[in-house]
Amino acid sequence: MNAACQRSSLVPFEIFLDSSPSKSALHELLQHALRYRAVTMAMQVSESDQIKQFKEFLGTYNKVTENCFMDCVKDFTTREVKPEESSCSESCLQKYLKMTQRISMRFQEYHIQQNEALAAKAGLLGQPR
Amino acid sequence: MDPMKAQQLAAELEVEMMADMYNRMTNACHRKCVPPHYKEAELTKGEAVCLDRCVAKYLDLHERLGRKLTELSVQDEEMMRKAAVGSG
Repeated sequence: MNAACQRSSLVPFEIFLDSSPSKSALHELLQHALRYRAVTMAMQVSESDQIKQFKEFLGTYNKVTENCFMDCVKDFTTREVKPEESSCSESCLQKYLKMTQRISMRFQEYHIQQNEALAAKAGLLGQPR
Repeated sequence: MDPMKAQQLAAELEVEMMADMYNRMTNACHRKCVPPHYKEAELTKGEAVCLDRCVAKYLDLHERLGRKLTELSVQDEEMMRKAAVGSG
């Protein structure tokens, strides 16, 4: 475990907490990034990869907010978010995440198939007669 | 990574994220509140009020979804930990 820690320098996300307002959603996301360290350590993810991952995570967060806002929030007679809009957006979030997972899975499957087809072709062409 | 660099990185990430959120919010509220008729240059009272409410709602939703996302990620992570312990 120690060797793994030495190899991948961990991003000290604690420092981030000082620069973001407490109790905001971003603050919570950053706290979660801290807890995620144990997994990251085991995986020996490099520093720049961790940062890229986190950036992508933030990007997804913004995308899903826009998406679910557009689809779920329809009542502009009030500043308050109505309970049905709130539950709609929570379902929207979970669906969005499941959707991206499924798309990613199918995309990978497609590429594996493509690679196998290419390999087969190459294999056929390379057959000595 | 030294603390100064980390702090800088944190600030950069936050700014970048906020800028992206701001652009999306602008886009969303434009589509929600300003119908594409453009008969006159001024915002009508209705459009203006709608925009105020839209911004308030978008920011509220942004917070909520952030918390929910954290909750889900934590659950996910615990599942992974349990799986790792189980196979260890």
